[in-house]
Amino acid sequence: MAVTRDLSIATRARALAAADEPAGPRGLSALLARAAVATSGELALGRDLVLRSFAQIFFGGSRLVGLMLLLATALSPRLFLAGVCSILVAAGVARLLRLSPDQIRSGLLTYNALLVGLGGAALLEPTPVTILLIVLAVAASVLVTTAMNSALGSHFNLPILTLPFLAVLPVLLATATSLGGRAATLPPDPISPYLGLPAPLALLLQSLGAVFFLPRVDAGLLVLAGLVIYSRVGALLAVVGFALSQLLAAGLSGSASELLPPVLGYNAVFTALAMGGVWFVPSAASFALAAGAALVSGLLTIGLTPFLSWNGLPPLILPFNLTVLTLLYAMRQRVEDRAPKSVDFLLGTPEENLAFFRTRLNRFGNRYAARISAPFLGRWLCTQGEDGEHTHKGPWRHALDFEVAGGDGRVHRGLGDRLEQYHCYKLPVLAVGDGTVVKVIDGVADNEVGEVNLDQNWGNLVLICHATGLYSLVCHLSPGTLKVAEGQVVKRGEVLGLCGNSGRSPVPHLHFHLQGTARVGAPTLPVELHHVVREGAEPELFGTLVPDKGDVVRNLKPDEELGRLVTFQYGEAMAFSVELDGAAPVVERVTPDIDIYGALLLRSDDREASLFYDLQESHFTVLDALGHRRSVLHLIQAALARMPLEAEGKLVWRDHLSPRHHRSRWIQLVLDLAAPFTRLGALEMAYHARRVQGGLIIRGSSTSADRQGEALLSTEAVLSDGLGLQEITVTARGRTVRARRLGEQETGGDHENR
Amino acid sequence: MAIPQKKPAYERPHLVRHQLGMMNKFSRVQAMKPKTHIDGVPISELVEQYGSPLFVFSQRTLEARYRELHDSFALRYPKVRIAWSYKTNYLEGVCKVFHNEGAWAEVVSEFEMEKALGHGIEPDRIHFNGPHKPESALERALPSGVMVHLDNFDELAMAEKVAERLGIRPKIAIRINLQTEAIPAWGRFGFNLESGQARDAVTRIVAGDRLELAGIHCHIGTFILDGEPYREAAGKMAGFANEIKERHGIKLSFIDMGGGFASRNTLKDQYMPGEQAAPSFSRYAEAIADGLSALDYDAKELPTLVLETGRALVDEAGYLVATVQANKRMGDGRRALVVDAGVNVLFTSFWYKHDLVPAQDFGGTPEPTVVYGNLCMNIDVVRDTLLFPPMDVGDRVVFKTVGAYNVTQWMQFIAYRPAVVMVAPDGRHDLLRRREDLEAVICNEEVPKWL
Repeated sequence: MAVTRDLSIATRARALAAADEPAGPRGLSALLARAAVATSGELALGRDLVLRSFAQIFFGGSRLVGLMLLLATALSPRLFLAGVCSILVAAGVARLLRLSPDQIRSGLLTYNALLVGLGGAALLEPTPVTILLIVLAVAASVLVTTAMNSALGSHFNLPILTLPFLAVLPVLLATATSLGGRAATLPPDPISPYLGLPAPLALLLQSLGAVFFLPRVDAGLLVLAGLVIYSRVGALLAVVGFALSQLLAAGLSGSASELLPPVLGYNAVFTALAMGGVWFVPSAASFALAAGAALVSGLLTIGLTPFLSWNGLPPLILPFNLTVLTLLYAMRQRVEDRAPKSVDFLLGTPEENLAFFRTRLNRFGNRYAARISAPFLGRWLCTQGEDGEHTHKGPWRHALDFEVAGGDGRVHRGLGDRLEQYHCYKLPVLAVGDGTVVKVIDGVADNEVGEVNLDQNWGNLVLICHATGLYSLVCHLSPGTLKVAEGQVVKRGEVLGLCGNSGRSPVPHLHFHLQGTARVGAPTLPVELHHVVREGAEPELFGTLVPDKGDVVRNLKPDEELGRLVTFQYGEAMAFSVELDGAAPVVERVTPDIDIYGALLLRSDDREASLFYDLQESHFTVLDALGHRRSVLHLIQAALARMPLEAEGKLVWRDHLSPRHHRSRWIQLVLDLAAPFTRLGALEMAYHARRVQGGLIIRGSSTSADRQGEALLSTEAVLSDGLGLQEITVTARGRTVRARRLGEQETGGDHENR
Repeated sequence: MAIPQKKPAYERPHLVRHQLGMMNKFSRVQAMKPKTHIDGVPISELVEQYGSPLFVFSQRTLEARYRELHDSFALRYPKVRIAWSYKTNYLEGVCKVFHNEGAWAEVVSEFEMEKALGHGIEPDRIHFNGPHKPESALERALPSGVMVHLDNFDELAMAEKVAERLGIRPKIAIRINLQTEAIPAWGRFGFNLESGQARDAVTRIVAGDRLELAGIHCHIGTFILDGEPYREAAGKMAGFANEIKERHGIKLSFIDMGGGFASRNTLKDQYMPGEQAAPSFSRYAEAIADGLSALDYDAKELPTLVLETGRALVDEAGYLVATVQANKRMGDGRRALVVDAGVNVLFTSFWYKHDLVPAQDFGGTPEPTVVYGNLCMNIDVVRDTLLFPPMDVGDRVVFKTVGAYNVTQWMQFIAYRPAVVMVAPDGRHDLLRRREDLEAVICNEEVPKWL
C-alpha cells in the first residue's frame, strides 16, 4: 500500500518530504529508539521510523498520520508490541544487509514487515515457536520487499503495494500450522454493540480497523482520523469506495462469510484512494475511475474468497493489489494522458498532487521536458502565429514566423524592395536549446523580394534534435551563412546561421517550429517558448508563451550579479526569524542541498519541509515547496516563485501559487473536498522587481481581491547584494508573516526549535 | 509657404539675386519648414513660461534613440550594455531617462563620478575612464566597485599601490588605442596595441597580482561616419581578448568599444547633410558584432559588449530656442540676424553647421544670412551662412540637434546661462535646470579682506 519512488519520471520536481534527524527521544519512543540502537548497532532509527512505517500504509503520509495508526494498534497491546518490534527487527535486518539508509528511514522497507508481524500476532496463538517464526517471517519480508521493489520498479515502473505481505503471510501461517501452531480467533468488536452506531458506519469503521486485524469501531475511528489528516479528498474517496462495495455485498447477500464485509470494505477503500487521488490527479474523472476500480476490487474479493481461503481466512488485501497494479499498468498505455491525468511527478497526498498539477499547468505549460527559448537575439516581431493566414495550416499549423520591426513599427527601411532594407535580413539565428544537429540544408539562393521558391520550399535550414521526439527547425536562412554541420552538438544560444529569404519566403523572415521526427516537412508539434519576454508598455515575462501575430518577444538577458542573489551555497545554513502578526518569533534554519537526482532544494532543519528550485542562467524558479505548513519555505515560494535574472528594464510577470498554505486551516479543509470538481485552486499572482541601492525588492500581489478590494495575497522579498535573501513578508487575509534572515552572530545562542 | 499672420516689419528696399529652385545634383533646395511644436508642445508656450533662450529636450527622442541603439546591437550580440557618457550631457534629468532604460554611467573625472553617485547610480554600475584619475579618485573608486579603466603605467602602479594599502583586489579594465582606417588615429589615451604596450600592461597586471583584469576598452575616434573602422577595431579587440584568455587564462567580462558614432549633425567641412551621411546604428552594430565574432569564447561566457555612446543618443533630442534681437544688413550685402543665444551657450557651433529653422510661420524670400549671438565678441558667430527667410524682432528660431555637449561645455560668459526643460511624451514639461541668476554666478566668489 505504499509508494515507491518513481525513478523514471522526467519531472523530478518534487519528492516526498525527506526524513530529518530524530528529534530527541521522549518517553516510550526513547526506549524504542534505544532498542533500535541496540539492534542495529548504528544510529537510532527511533520514533520516526515507527511512525513513518505506519504512515506508509497511507502512501507515505506524515508522522502524525503514522501516530494515529500506531494508536489504533495500541488498542491491542499484543498487536502494538508486535507491530513496533516488527518494524525495529525489519530495520535492523535491512541495516545488516546494507540496504539503502534512505529507504530504511522512509519506512518503505519496513511497512510490509509491519503488516506481516501484525498478521502473525493476530492470527496465531503466541507460543515460542510461532514467535520465532514470526520474527523469521518479518526478516524475510524485508528481502521480499526489496526484491519485488527492484523487479516491479525497474521493469514495470509499478509500486509493490502490499504484495510482499501477501507473499509472506500465507507461508508463515502454513508453516506455523505445520509446526503445531494454532490459529487465534479475532475477538469480536467489544465496543460497537454498546454504541448503537448505524450499521453502515460501524461497518466502515470496522473495515478500516481490519487493516490492522482489529475489526473494531475504535480502531477504525483512529485509522479514519489518520486518513482525514492524510487527505480529505482521500477520505471522500474512501467513503465512495466503501459505499459501492457494500451495495455490491448487499446484492450478493447470504453467500458471504461474516468476515467478508470488512475485507470487501478495506479493499474498496484503498483501491478508490489509490486510483482516485494518489496515482491520478483528483478530478471528476479520477473519482469515476476510483468508483469503477472499487467495484472491480469488490468483485475480485467475492470471487477470490472461495479459492484462497485458508482456515476461513479471506483474501486479505490481494484484490486491492491486483486491481490497482493492473489498472495502473493499463491506464499507462493510453495515447493521451488526460481525464484522469496520471501523476507523472513524485507522489504526494491527493491534495498536493492536485495543487501541484494545477499550478504546474499554469506555470510551466504541459508539453515538453526540454525548455525552448526564442531562436534569436534581441526583439523580434511575430508576423505569423499558429494557425496563421498564410502557410501555418494543416500539419504545419504550429509554426511561428518572425521579423524585426524598427522604431516606426515597419519591418523594413525605405520601400522594402531590396533584401538589405529588411531589418531582420542577415541577423543571427540561434539554437533554441541544447541538442544535436540532424539535418542541414545550405545553398538555396535568397529570393528577390516578392518571389518564392516552391521547389525547395523550406530553403536553407537547420534541424536540431533536443530530446526523443522533439526536434526544432529554423529555415529560410541565407545561403553560405550556416555555421553548423550535421552531427554537431550545439548549445542553447549558439549561432546556427543568418536570417535570409530562401525557399517559400517572399520577404526575409525566420520560420520556426517544433516537430516529432527528423524528417524535413514532418508535421509540426504545438509550439511554445519558455522564459521569454513579451514587449509592450509593460514588458512581461512568460514562463511559457505561444506568441500571437503582432507580439514582440525576446529572450531574457541574463545578469550574473542578480544570479548571485539567489545562489544558495550548498550546505551553508541560513536562519530565519519568522514572526506572525507580532507573535513571538520562531527561528527556522534552512540548508541548501542537492538530492540524489541532482535537484536543487532548500531543506528545513527545524521543520519537515523542503523547497525544490531551479537556477538557470536567466531565471530562478521555485518548483514546489512541500511539507510543514508553517515552514518558512512556503513563504519563500510565495515571494520568489519565479525571478528573472535580468537587471535591465521593468519586467512584470505572473505566476500561480497554490493558496493552500495561505488560507485558514479550517476553510482549507472544506475547500480541499471541493477542489477536484471545481477550478478553485491556483492563485494568480502578479510580480515586479525594483532595484534599490544595494539590492533588489520583488513584490507580488494576487490578481484577485477580496470584498474589501485587498489582494488575497501580497508578498515582498528583499534581496541584498552580497548577502542574498534577507527578508520576506507575506500578507494574506489581513495576517502578515515576516521572515527575517538572521546574521551569523544572531544565529548562535538564542535559537529555539518550534 | 504659409501666409504671414501679421504685418511684416518695414525693410528698406534692396536687390536680391533671383535663385529659382537652386537646382543641384540631388534636388531642389529643401523648402524650410517652421518648427512650431516640440512633441506636441507649442514652443511659444515653453518660451513664455521659461524665458529665452531655452534648451528643450525631448524625452521621447531620448528614449527612441536609446532603444534603437540597444536593439540594433541586441539583435546581433547577446550581451549588450550601454554606459551613458556623462560628459556629453550630465543633467540629472537626462541621465535619469537613460538610467531608467537600463544604462550604466560612464564618467571621466572624479567630479563626474560624484555626479553619477549623486544620481543614485550604484558604484558597480559606473565605468570610470579618462586620463586623469588622481590618487584620491582611485581611493574612492576602487574599493566601492567602480570599474576603473586604467590609462597608463603610472596610473596602473598607483592603482596597485592603492589596492595594496586598502587590502583589496579590485576589478579593473585597461584602455587600449589601436590603428584603424579611421583618421586621425587616437593615440593619446590608453596603451597602444600594435607596439605591444597593451600586452605588457596585461602581463604587468597579472604579475603584480593586486588587480583583476575584467575588461578591455578602446575608443577609435569621434564622429566616425563609417562602420568599417569599428569592424577592424572590434576584430583586433577580439583577437587581443583571445590572446589574454590563452596566455593568462583570463576570461574578460566585458569589451568596451567606446563611442564615436556620428549624430545627424553636419560638420563644418562635411559636404553631405548629416541626416544623409550618418550611418544608422545597425550599420555600426553589424560591423562591431562581425568583428567580435572572432572571439573564442563559449556562448554563455561571452564578454559583455559595452558601448559609451553619447552624442548619437542625445544630440537629436536637444533644441535651442532663441529670440531674434535685430536684423542687419552687412557691408557685403548679406543679411545678418542677431539672436539672444551665442557661442557661450551653443558651444558646438564652432564645429557644426547647426540646422536652424524659424519657430513660427514665415514669409518672404530666403536669402544668405549670417547668424550672430548676443556676445560682444567678434567670434560670436553661431552660423556662418545659411538661406534664411526674413525675421521680425521678437520672432523665435530653433537650433536643432544640439543635445550633445552644449549643456556641459557651455560657459557662463557675459550672460547668464539659460534654462533647460524637458518635454515628456504625454506633453508635460518641466525644468531640467533653472536659468542662472546673479546669485548662481557669484555664490563661489570671495572678496579678500583687505579690499
